[in-house]
Amino acid sequence: MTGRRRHRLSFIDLAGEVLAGLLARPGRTALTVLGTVIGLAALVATVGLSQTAGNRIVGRFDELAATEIRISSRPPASEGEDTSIPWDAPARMQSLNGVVTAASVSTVDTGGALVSTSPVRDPARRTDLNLSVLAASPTLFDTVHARLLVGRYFDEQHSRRAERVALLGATAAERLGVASLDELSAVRIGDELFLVAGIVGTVDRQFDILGAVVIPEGTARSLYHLAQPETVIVETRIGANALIAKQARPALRPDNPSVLEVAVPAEPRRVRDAVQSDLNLLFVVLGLVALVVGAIGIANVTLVSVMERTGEIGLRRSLGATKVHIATQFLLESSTMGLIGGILGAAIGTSVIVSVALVQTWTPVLNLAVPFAAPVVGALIGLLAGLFPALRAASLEPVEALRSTT
Amino acid sequence: MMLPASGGSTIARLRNVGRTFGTDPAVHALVDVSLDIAAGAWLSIVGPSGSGKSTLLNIMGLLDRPTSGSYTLDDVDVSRLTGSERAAKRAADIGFVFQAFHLLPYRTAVENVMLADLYSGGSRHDRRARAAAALESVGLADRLEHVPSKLSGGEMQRVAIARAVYTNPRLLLCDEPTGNLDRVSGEVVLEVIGSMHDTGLTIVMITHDDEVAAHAQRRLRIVDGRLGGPP
Repeated sequence: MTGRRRHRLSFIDLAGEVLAGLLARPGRTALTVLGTVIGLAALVATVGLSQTAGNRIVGRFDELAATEIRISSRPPASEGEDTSIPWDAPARMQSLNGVVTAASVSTVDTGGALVSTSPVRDPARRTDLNLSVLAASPTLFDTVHARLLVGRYFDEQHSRRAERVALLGATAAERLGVASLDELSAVRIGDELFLVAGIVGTVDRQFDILGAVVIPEGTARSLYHLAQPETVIVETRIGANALIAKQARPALRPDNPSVLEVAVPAEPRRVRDAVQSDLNLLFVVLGLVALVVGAIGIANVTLVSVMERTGEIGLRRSLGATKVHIATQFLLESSTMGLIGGILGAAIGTSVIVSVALVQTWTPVLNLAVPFAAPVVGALIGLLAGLFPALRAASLEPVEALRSTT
Repeated sequence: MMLPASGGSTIARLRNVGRTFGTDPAVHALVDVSLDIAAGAWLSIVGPSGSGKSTLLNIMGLLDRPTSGSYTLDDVDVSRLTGSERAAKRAADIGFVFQAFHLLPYRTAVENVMLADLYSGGSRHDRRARAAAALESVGLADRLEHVPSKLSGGEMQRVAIARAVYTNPRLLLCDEPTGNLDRVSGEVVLEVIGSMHDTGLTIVMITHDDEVAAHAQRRLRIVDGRLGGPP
């Protein structure tokens, strides 16, 4: 039985030594791990919370933006080119499968006419307002999700007979001093008198309606010689946006589709990414700072541990441990601390996300890779943090180390 | 001077070994030491502190390298071995007993003994049984699960002896084994070392105490790094 026996430290033995080393001072190990726990919990939680919050914001974007298309005509390329949108555009769009509603809306050129409620001009008090006048198909109010404060909308008959009726946006009504329709209210656009049919309180899109006077398209054609609809707004079913955008031009101008421009809001996915990258950056930086602090903690404690255990290192060398054995043991100890920190950090971070989501009644969203990456990141941090102390432990001369009384 | 072995085959052979520390001024801890250690011998080396006896023991234990001369252990010229080969040889062939015991404070007596197996490659399945047997052989059968802080000094040193002989080394090196013990405990420890010698183990013990050295079969004196005859 001389030098023939195998000389290598088995992994099971090494793991046992590492575990015993960590458990020898459980309080210190726990405190050391705490830094990494906090760092990784913060990182997991912030990434998850930003994803959760981002998802919420996107939820709003999705509802409106992802179901909206706007069609307008581009400027004529040559003299006399017909780039107009047909008057029956809303009806044509509505016949497409996937369209919920469609409406046309145009700004009316009233020749600079001011809007007022009083037939009498009062020089002392300004009652004439420069409000924009919109001409709309009767379907507009459905398409923009309008809600009435009082009165009613105009309909197809008003438009066909070119009746002088108008709806006021809430802001416009306030400025004009029209609060209710109890007495027959009327507004004057220039010299033309319009009966106020209703006041629109809120809309979900096309917010300029709120500050405008809206008259039927037919009325605008006969009174102001409106030549063509300016914009067609289409609300699609969720998911049908891209399809309808493709079909819109041939549906409205089969003779020359290229004269129309179709505006589709940014892809929902893109919106989501843009929002999240902004939110993430700050959070990730904060988490990284916490991680660096955690790593310094592990490095520090491992270094102290090496110095305290100098005698033990000398003993192990005398028992036949090589420098590699010593370095491996300390590296594994620091990596294990990082790994434990990562596991706990992932658990705590995930709990924080779920708790916050619960309180806010949000849907918790977290990339599954994040909680699984946390222990790996933790172990790597522990490994890096243990590098210097481990090399120092390995470089101790056995004779010198044995002189230490610990 | 040349000190031949007192009989039988030679385990360790030192020839003109010198060890110098530093350069300015150079400290000559060992000067021209030649020594043969026979298998089964119990040799004690006596000297005052600073005489170089610890340096000599460290060189014999492959913890240190001589700056001159040669050292042959079991017919292997160990000065040619690499660091890890020397570590392997320490694990397999050499047992150490230190003045400061060097027990791990958070491990029980039996776990401290088992530690010696980690690097010597002993089989795992009967490790605890063998460690218990080693502790029994030093009279500590009832202290297996005690941590060092619950043991007396003499008991701690006996645990250390059990750990040193547990891997069946060829050479047991004792560095002031009774230096931290009272007289009674020291006597017990020397008796245990004597019983190890009786099983045929080769022992080299260094001490500054002539009474302790008297337990050994053969005594040598070291002064200023030079080995002399019997005191």
